[in-house]
Amino acid sequence: MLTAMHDRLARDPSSALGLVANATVDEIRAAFLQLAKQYHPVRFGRMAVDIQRLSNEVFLALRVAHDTLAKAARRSSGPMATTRGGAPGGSGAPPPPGGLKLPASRPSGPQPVARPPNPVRRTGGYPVVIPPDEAVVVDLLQRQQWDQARTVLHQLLARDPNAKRVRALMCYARGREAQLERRLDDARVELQEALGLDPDLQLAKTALTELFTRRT
Amino acid sequence: MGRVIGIDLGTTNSCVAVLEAEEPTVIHNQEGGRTTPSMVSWNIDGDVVVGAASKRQMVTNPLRTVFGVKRLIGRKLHDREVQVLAARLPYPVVATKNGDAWVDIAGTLRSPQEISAHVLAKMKRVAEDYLGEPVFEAVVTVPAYFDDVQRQATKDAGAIAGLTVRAILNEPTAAALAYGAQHQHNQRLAVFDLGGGTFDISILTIENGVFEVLATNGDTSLGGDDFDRVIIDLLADEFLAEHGINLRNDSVALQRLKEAAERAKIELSSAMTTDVNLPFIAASPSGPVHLVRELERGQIERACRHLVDRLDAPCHKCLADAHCTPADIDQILLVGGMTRMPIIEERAVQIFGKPACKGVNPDEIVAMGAAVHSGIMGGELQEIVLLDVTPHNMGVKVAGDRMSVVISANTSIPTRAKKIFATTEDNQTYVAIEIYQGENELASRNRRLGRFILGDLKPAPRGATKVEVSFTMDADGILEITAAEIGTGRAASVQIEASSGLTAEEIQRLGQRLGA
Repeated sequence: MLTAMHDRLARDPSSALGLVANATVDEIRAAFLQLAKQYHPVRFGRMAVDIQRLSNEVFLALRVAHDTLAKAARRSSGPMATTRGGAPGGSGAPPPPGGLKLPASRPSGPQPVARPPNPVRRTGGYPVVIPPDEAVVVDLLQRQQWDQARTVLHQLLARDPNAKRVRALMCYARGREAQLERRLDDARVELQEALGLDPDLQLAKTALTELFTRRT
Repeated sequence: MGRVIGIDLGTTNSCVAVLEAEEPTVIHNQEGGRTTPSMVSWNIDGDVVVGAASKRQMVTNPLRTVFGVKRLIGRKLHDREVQVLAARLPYPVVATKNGDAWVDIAGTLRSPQEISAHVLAKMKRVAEDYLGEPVFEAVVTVPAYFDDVQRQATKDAGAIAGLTVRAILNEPTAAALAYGAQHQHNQRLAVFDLGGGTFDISILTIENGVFEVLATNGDTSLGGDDFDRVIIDLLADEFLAEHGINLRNDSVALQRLKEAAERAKIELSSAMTTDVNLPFIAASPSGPVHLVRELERGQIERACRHLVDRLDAPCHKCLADAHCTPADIDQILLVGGMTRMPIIEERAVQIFGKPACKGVNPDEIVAMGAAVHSGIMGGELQEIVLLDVTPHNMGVKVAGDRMSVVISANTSIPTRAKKIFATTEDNQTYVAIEIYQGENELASRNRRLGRFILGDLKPAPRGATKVEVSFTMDADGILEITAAEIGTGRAASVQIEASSGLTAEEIQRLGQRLGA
């Protein structure tokens, strides 16, 4: 079974995957997933070592076949033949760096995108795929929209987990929330942490002053 | 063929499950527990005690009672994290000739593999009692962020226990398998796994029964033990200030403190306050001293904040590697006993902006996933399969101690990748290919997996001779490397068997001793 599949993948990947001519990316992926269930090396994990080795080779060939066919299908097809927008990605190349903009309806013609990145979902009025900058966060914070501010902050942190100013703003958001919930000790810890990360964060200074004046 | 059992070999607790009628079933141990403490004691008369019985000896026999050995397995004593850890353990940790961290039990050096083998053997017996037949094969889970050496060491522990480890499965992936086997609709999951010793975060999709890991990240030295230690410090520091007695210098007192800290942490997961009551914890010139005080949830949450903060970076990195934003995640799956702590759940919810999914037992789901995987392997479960990734970069050391990555982290396995390298000297007749695993740009800061030489190259000016190096990683993460000189076709290849420091003979000998 393995040897036969290996030969078929080498000779004619398209028919090995059971595809008709001009199969769509969707169909190619569905065929790949179906065969992955049958031919994944784990299915041969209790067999002899040489069979396990062969099963790895077959799976590698299956993946190459999928990637090659999917690439060709994307190149030759118009807007209708692309994968469903934003469903879980395949094993193909990662999306191009920075290529996060993806209009809901795609223009026809060749697509340089290897696989559709995440769908354009909206949270708090901001499209998630185009991460806004700090100015937006500060604006949200000033308008006391903590949840939205935090969502955006997490996106910024995903881009650069070490950005001190963003981390400071995150602490500030948490501190303010704690303050509103009357968890004053937590608020103080968070706000002081925010100042530790960004000593010039005026927002945090104001908040701390407020906190201490109210306390005394 | 006999049954394949699924074992979650945890830092603090272990759990075993089998697949019955396509459903994973957790098996009770002889004491009636669904999980077994991952603890092993050696009595004065040389008897080995495992599980709950060993945990009871923690106070009376602290020097010969080993817990948390998973944090030492496959690691070197000179690793900074291991040193910090070893300094705080009641039992002595020593370095072997090659630097591995072993445990000194009354003058006998014991490897973490051997100690883990006792736990695995216990889990094997639990399963055998339940099934009424001998068991020889298992799927064992490890933290996703374990490197090759730690994985191999876990396999060796299985071998010592008389188990052929058919697959090493990543814990978060295992949890997703168990969850997804029941909830098969297409979705994107974040598995947030904070256990006794390690933190893992994995993002994966379930699509028509195919579980595909998109990215994984973690911290192999962040877990419940660290939280316990913060509470121990809080109590011990206070006691020191009040009575001038350092409880940390008294191993029995420290053990009692540790137990009390763990209990307080667990109670504070549901209650807002708890009492710590340790009478006669120490003696002063004026008589016995007691430790009696109240702990508040907020107090330990504040003290543990720096630990909770360490959860953020791996999550953000994982999201970025999976090309996701929190909005793309449909569901968070909380795994590991530590996620019962409200502050941990809050942080997970905060990062991913989704409520955590309920109705999953965080202590058992990993073992259940291992049982599901055994079913995929055995063919009982035809409609699901798992495509996992390699958690670390794999590459070759090049001039200037740089790491040239050939297979990058989060690549779906099995995979094959090639890279071409050139000679750096005139008339160079051989190249030494050194293979490393890790994220640092400097090769020497990463874990060295092996080395081989491609010789008899055609003499040529530097840079003119080109060598193609090909890495093939199979579904178990085993790496095979070939190097070929371009033009002449001269080739060499090597299969990298990570070594846990034990030879085949040692494993066999230890196995016989354990079986006897």
